[in-house]
Amino acid sequence: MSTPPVLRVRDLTTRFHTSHGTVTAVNGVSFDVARGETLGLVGESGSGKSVTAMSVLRLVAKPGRIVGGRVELNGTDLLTLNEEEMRQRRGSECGMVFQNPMTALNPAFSVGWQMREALTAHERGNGTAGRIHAALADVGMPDPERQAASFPHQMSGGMRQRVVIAMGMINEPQLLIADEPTTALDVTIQAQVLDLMKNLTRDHGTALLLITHNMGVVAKMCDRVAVMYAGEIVEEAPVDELFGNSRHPYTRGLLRSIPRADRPRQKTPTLPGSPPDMSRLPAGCRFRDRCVFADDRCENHPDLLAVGARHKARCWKTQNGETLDETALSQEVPHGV
Amino acid sequence: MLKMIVMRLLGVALVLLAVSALVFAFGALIPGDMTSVIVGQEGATQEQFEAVRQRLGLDKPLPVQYVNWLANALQGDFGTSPITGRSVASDLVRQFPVSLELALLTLLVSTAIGLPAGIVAAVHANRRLDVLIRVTLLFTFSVPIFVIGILLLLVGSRWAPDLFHVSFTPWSEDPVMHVRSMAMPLLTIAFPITAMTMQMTRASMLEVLHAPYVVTARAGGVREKRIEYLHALRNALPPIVTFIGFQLGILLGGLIVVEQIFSLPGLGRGMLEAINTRDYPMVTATTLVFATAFVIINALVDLLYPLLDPRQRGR
Repeated sequence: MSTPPVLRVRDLTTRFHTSHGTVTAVNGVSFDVARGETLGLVGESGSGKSVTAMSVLRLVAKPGRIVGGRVELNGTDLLTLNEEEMRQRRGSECGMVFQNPMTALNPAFSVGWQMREALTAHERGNGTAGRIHAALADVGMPDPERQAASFPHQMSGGMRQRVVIAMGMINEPQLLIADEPTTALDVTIQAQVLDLMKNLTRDHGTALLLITHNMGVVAKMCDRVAVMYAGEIVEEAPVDELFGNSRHPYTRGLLRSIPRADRPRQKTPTLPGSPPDMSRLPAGCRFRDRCVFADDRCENHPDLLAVGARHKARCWKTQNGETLDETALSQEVPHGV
Repeated sequence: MLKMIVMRLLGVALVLLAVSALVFAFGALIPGDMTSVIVGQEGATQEQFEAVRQRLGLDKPLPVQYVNWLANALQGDFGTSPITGRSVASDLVRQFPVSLELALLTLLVSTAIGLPAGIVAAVHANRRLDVLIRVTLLFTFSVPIFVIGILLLLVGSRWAPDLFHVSFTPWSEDPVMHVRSMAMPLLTIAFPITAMTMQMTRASMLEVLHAPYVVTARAGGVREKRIEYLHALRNALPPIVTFIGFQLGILLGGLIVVEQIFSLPGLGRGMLEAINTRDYPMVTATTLVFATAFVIINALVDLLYPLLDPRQRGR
């Protein structure tokens, strides 16, 4: 790919200073998202994926602070901008879709009013009504004129998420960040909303950073995937490569714990143990305590290294081109917990 | 909307009816009655006593007395004060505007200062400006009204006699003197009320400043000031408005003290005097006025709610 990526993140580090100590929620994270590409950022709760997303727009709430790295959006390092320059880029160059549409819209104002706010924040006041109606129609809202006059509480969750997406896209940003956009929705609505986001980003050539913990969503939506664990990216690969040939034991565990229709739900393997305490991280590999492959080498912290074409993993076991032996997993992981 | 207003007014009428019964019952439950005030405790014969009771209708059963009293009250007749010999209604008409003016001015001043101060404090939460605002207003809140009042009286009459005028002058007599005579009572009672408005605004703003929709607006590039003063404040308002209405009730109580300190001829002072002289008709009438004011204010606040919160509107 010769054109520079829309978003280029390098060594991003975000810390939270609390009375219990300092937590490095995002630790030296690097990734690119190209025009028209969808990158999935995957991990359990607390792995740092949401903080990574919020760090990109510099919206991390106190006591969180970005302490290092670069976040280049359309070639500009956002971390060097002043607050007003940053504000001008929020919404116009990068839109955002949040997890819970029930709380992401302001209950005191009509949907049309809130969309107008998103437009006028960037001095694009001309023909706002028409643009608002067009944006609502784009996300599949019937009767946009009437919907624009409605208040959020008069809409269903799925409708509200469509509004949030329409707001995120209304300034035609080059990048859209979606943080668990379907987690709070009914299963029947999830697929519709995902299809909508896929079509919109494809039609506009928008780069999409999709944060999720749902491997089904990843398979449906993403071109590439970055897996986060305890504040670090542990594996990064094109989606087919990741599903077919993952090189990190954590990714392997995640993939195995997807419920499948052809086996009873109780038989779905789970990943034993729980993520490490982020304020007291172990030395060495952070996944070591839960890893069935762990040996002496894992007492040293592994780097994220190339293990194949466009495929990187942070694991001593696979750095020499070895693959992980599935049978070891099957023996060690208890079925049905 | 119209239906809601009608229902609300019906509710107000019912509450007021209950209030009138309670107020009347309190008057009737106090030991002794007006007769002893009129005839005097000693020296009167039983016959004189009974004659007065009969003339005032106090020999009839209580429910009958209540209906008679209510019927008269509804026509604006609260009887004649046995102490002053004047009609109670005429006293009320004279006193009410003084108290209302003081209450409304206090509300205006305390909101004008307390609301912005609360917003600024919330936006700067736990930083220097917030601490400064809170400590200052905590101080004004902690000092009792009568202490502030007496201090102001002392300081004002001694060092700024041109600014304040101590004895009450009606607006109709001399507008300038009137303003000067109201300034000190206003300041006295505005101090604690401002502090409360600030506290309430700060708490309510803090709650919405971290709401997800505020983050949405921020992520959309909306300017920070606009988020604070429009997106957030609009959601913080309903509890603040409720609280300000509630404060009017507290204010009515505060008036008794302030009017006493500054010798303002208002309802509060009138009520206190009536209690001291066992002026039964006056006590019941002022109590009824206070209670009615409280009920009406609360109804008004309730009617404001749908304007402030779209979720309260019917579709």
